[in-house]
Amino acid sequence: MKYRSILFCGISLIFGVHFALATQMRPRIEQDTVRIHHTIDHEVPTPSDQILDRDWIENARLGTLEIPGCAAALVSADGLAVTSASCLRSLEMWIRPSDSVFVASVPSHELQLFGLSARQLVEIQKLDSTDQDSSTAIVGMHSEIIQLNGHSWKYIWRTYDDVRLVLIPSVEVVNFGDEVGVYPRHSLDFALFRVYDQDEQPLDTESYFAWSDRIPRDREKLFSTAFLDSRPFTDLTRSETYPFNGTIAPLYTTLYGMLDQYYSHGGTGAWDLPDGWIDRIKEADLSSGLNFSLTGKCAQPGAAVVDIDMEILGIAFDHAYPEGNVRCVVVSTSGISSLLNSVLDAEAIAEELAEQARDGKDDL
Amino acid sequence: MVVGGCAPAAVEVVQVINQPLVVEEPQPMLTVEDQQQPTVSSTVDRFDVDLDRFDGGKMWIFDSPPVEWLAEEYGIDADSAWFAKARLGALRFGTGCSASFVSGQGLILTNHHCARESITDVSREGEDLLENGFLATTFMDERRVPDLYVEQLLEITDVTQRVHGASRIVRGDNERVRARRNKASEIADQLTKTAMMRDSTLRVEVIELYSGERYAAYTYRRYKDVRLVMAPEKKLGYFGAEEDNFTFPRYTLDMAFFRAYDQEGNPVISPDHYRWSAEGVGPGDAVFVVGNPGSTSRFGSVSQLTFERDYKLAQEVEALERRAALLRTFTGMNQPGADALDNMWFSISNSLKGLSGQLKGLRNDTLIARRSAAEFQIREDLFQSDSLSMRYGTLFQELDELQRSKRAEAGRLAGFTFFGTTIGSRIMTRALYGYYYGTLQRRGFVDQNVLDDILEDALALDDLPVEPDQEMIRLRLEELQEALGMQDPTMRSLLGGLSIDSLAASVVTATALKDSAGFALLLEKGYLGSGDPTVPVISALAPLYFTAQQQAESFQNREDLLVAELAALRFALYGTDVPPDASFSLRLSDGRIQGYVYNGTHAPAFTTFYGLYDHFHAYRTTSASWDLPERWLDPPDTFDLSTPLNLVSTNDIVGGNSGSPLLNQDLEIVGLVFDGNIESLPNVYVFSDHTARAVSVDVRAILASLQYIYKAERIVEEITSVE
Repeated sequence: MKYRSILFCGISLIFGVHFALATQMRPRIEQDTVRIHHTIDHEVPTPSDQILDRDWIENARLGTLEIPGCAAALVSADGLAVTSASCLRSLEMWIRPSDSVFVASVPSHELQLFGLSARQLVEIQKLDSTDQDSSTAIVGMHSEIIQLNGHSWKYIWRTYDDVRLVLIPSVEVVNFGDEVGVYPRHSLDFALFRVYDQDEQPLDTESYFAWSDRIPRDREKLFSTAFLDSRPFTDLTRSETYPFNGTIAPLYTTLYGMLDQYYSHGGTGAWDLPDGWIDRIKEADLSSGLNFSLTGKCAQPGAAVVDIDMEILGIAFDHAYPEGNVRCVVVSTSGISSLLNSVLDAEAIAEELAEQARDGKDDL
Repeated sequence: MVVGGCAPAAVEVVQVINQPLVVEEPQPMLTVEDQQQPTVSSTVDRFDVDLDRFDGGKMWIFDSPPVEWLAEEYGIDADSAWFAKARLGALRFGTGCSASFVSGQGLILTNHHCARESITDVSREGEDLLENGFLATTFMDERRVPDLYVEQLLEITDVTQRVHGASRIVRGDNERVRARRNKASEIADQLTKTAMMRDSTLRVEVIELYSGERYAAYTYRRYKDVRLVMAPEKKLGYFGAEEDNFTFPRYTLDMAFFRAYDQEGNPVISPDHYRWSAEGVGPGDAVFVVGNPGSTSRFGSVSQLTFERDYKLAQEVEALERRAALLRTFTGMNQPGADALDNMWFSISNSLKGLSGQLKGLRNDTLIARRSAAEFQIREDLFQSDSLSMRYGTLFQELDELQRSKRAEAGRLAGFTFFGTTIGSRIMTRALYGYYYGTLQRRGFVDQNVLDDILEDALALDDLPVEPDQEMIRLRLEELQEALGMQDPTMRSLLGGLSIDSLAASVVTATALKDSAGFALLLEKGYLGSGDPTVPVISALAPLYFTAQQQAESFQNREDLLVAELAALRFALYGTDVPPDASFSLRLSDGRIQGYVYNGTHAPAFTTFYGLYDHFHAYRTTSASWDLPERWLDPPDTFDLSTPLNLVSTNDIVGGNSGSPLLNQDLEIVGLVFDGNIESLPNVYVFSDHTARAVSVDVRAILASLQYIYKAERIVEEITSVE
């Protein structure tokens, strides 16, 4: 995969950032503050230094977006991004998409989410004590000065104000079973939006995560990239099973499991599926992964879960608390792909994701 | 407790030794600081809990059927014909399971896990029926299982007066119990003789109820020609394997079919079978389990429970945890003996699951508070009657004192938890066999049959790899030192200045007991005089062990007696309002189909075949326990995956109920009981249907599998034909 380095950040730093999030804008995951410990210092060894290089970190940062209270991830060179549907549905009323399914089959149908902006951390500069912030204001860019470890750091952000909804599943399947804080789980908690530039053109970006159709392997090391790629270090996580209910939890759940839940609960209440799903879902590969869980906390809701090759395998959307431990619950890209091609009638989007993933790999 | 083969793998205790040297189960220890009074929970007061009428369970006896309760709770007008039908369709299967007739031609349904041994027994050379399943396409193909029989309960007669009459003049509690049991056995023999003259297939058992306050003669018809008809592959019958044992949601086709034949070799005519329900059941429906539950611990004193909680179970769980931790480092070994190691690992992890579940229940303050409240109530009621006060006034005190004595002695036993069992070092267990065998010979023990049996058991032990065996020895020595103390003379002379590590290593290096062949040679030439390095070790430990076991046994005898008195007291106070404890005789338990809250969400009352495939895919990269055989990988389109597969209900079940039919109120079969969920483990102490559930295979799943996967048209036709 080829990445364009927008701005090269050749300095070493350790920093922490606090986000104060408007309560009403918070999605399900409670996170009053996000404290990020990020080491980009190659002289300071961290476990993941052994497997991640500086390019990886920088490109992951550039592929990661921040939306209010949540993370999102670019998944195509044309500005397509993925997050958790709960993130979008928890936004202020005037931004929030309706409860029903929305699929824009062509770009002209994409629905602008007025009031929603996404931002990307494009550069981090270490300021000498004598430095003055001399940057001039650029449209769509702004900077913040952060004090940490006796140094001043300058974060330069790019903000995108034109964000358009591409796909969001209906609330029934996003909240399937109404099982907050639970794993094993069968939720289709994801949404796709596209970032547009100031010329109202889809954002042309070379930094994005290649969409993967595979499910994680047992004990596979994964990375959760939330905001500034800032958690690939303390965020090194693993997909693995754990003791649960007298047995062991499944590594992942499948679309078969979703149908099991539907029929087991009599297809009523929180376990009902939208009209047409039962017939159409059987066109999908029912063995596709639907949800999986990771060790530890999620970096942020909507955070991409990526492998060492920067392929995206899932989107974090909730926490589960089995026997006093915390685990991050993730919706699998494998199941999303299967459903895009069947019950969601979103073949064009599926094709874009697949094609962009191929291009990304070819470039690499 | 547990349901038959899904039992918390009752630790398999090697029958090393006959009486009086050993009791079946090692007892746990205690330390000095543990020697405190049993305390009632401090956080939940006994007055805070409501006593439930069914804390003691709902295992109704057919001698006193719950007519009023069924009318009150379910609006069912259950007359004697209803109970007779419920009784006659049920079967006792082999020595530990339940079953039922499901056709007029003697077709029998039970669990796959109850049928395992039979399936293996009828496998012919080159066949692996346990792995691959079995289907007889004609009557001729049905295979007779050697020594298997099923029994149908035909008649119940109260013989309490006859039994008690014999003991009325006997003085002494012990003697009276013995006299009653002898009389009961005598009556059973006599009635069996009379019955057999009438019909050679009849047998009579005298069942002790309420710990001997009631005796009933149960006349059974025994079917001795039982043939295997159908069994699914083990992967279906045991889908989810040890991991899923005691769990729900579940997706297991734990079923097998047999057929009873008469003495002329024809399928028996069984008009009293249960009809197959085509519709099955739905949430909230009333359901009834008819089967043969084993026994529970619901009727002892609170002091017994706290001893169990603080010593016995706690020690066993700790010992198992240590062994599990030790073995974890050796799993996945690829060398001779790895299978034995894996088996031990499963045995340990499954015992751990069962016993920890029970311990968790006992550590739940509400459970102890409920039992305390019940005990308080008995004490109150007791003192309303002068005669009862006279007779039983000191009973609870005596039980408390006995527990105190047990606690005082527990320390000596602690280091021997699971000693001489298959959970642990093979070298040490062989040494114990060798010591016992040699000692009997030296004492001039002449019964060759007994000696041969010991020899056979001793040589049946499979071999373990050396490293884990050495670690097991090290762990045992550490536990003994911890239990007996650093200054204990036995330990000091045993170690002789060596460290435990060194002793374990030197024993393992030089012993001939590492494998069965070496052991056999040593036994032949005389183990005790062989000079094997295990001889001084076991010669030091075995006398301690046997003494401790004798002590434990004497406690047990005393406790049995007191518990029998407690049962007598309960009976005097409450009569048959409360069903007696289970006794592996036929019981009826009522309940409803009902899901429950678990894992922060709702466990549905049913699972489906979609879930079977979900599990197959979800676990395929982590475990082989959810593998499916070839023929299941691509089911035909006609096979509806939304068919209910397993279901849960609130019926009271324990070990022995495996294979019991689950019936609707018209006494049609709607399910096949095969396990309890993890929440049901504490039910061994107090019955609760809050989240505890019985787990059954739904008959609709059985039928669909027979029809679309196994193409067993003959059986399908037989069970669905309406006569």
